[in-house]
Amino acid sequence: MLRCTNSIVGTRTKSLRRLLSAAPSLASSVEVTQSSSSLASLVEVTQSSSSSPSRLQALRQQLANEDAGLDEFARPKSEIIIRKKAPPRSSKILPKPKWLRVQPADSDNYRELRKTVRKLGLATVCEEARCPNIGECWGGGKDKTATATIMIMGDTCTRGCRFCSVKTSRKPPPLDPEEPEKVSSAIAKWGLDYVVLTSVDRDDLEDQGSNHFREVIQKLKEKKPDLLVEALTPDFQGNEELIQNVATSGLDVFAHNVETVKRLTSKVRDRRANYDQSLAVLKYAKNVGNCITKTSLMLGLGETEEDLMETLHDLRAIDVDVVTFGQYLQPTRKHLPVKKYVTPEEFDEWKIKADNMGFKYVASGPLVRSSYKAGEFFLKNLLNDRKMEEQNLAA
Amino acid sequence: SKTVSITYLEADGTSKTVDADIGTDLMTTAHDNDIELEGACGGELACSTCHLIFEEDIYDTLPEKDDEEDDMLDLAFEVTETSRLGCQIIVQENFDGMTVKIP
Repeated sequence: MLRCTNSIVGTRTKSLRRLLSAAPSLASSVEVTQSSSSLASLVEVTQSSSSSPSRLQALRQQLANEDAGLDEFARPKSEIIIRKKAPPRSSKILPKPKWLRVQPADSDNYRELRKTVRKLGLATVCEEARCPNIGECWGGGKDKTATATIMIMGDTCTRGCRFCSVKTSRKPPPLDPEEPEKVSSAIAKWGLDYVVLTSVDRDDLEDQGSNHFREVIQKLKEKKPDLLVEALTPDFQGNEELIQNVATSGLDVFAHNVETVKRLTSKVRDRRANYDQSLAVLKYAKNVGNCITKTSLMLGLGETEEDLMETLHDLRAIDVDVVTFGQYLQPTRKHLPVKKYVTPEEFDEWKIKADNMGFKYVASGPLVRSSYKAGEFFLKNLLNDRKMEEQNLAA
Repeated sequence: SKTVSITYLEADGTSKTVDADIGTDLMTTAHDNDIELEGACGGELACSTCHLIFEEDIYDTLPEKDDEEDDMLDLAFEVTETSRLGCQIIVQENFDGMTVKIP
């Protein structure tokens, strides 16, 4: 059944005029009136020449028949396009602001990287969590350095945080024992300078995957000693031994996301996660691994300025080096709605505040994510400086 | 398949009445009808975001909840005596005409 709105009527009458003018044996003058009811009342065909009256009668008959669509004249039945009316957008979903336009994922680099990722059998959080930056990071950005954040330990998580679209299961498939070898070989082949490894939570495993994580990092470092490795880890339920496995694996940056402010943590994250626990993870990792520590926060979940200042103080108190802020985006209808779209200016203000509090590096912007490329370039410099310092001290 | 009429009362007071397929769970039914109900873990009993509050007489007819659902429900916001997780409740015939509240 065709539904006619004014705009569709406009189009159809134009098409009908075109059609009838291309068929001179029919009418030589056509009166088209706009109406929102059936198509039959749209057209009044008048005959001024007497050629083929039966064809015209047949045409009138067909038009008068409610089921005949214009497409039946214009195209063969098999090609009729059915336009489905889009479901009404919920009035409760905040409209997206102008500054959140992303580069569509369509460059050659992007396609190349996607092919490589598939071929090597890698899972990326970029795809699993529907990151809006995928086109830019995979596309290579200004300096053509493709970045991807590799997800290990499968694509299925044991937790169900309200902001995350990664699949959840109480019992995800078992770990692939070949993964450390496979992933490290694949990444080594890639020619990256800086790689971020992240994983799902595996509360179902005895060591929650920490040994597996450690193995991936170690093998990577074996194969490519110059490769800078950042690990974005689970909380391992605060278990120090498990944290130590990863923190002392030889990685360069230990990252663990607090995700949001203390007050909102129970509303936003899975019940097994908690704010103080995450701080403890970051604190312990630094103590035991002597590595750069990093964390990320999503804004727009309902946090106040006081909430956020408190969090920044908490992070500095445990000597976290790097913090990133990004806008929370609702990944699917089944997830937490956005409370507020924080303006680029507000993001800039937070960068200034955090810089002044002594973080070594702050990345802040609506589309900034934990492993967004911007941080990596700085960190690359920072880490190289560190290395040089160490070498100088040794000399 | 046979349907029954169910009303979802959304958090802000909006009321939506839908035709629910018998045999489908209430979370999926809500999603299929653009009702504002989350389902962060996709029905895996790993969250409590599909929490629904039932009318007492309907609640009494629901199959018993198992421990896993109970664990998750305990942590739900504004949980009540007649609360259940929508992903675990399958539409029954006697649901016809009932209202469920989204806290």
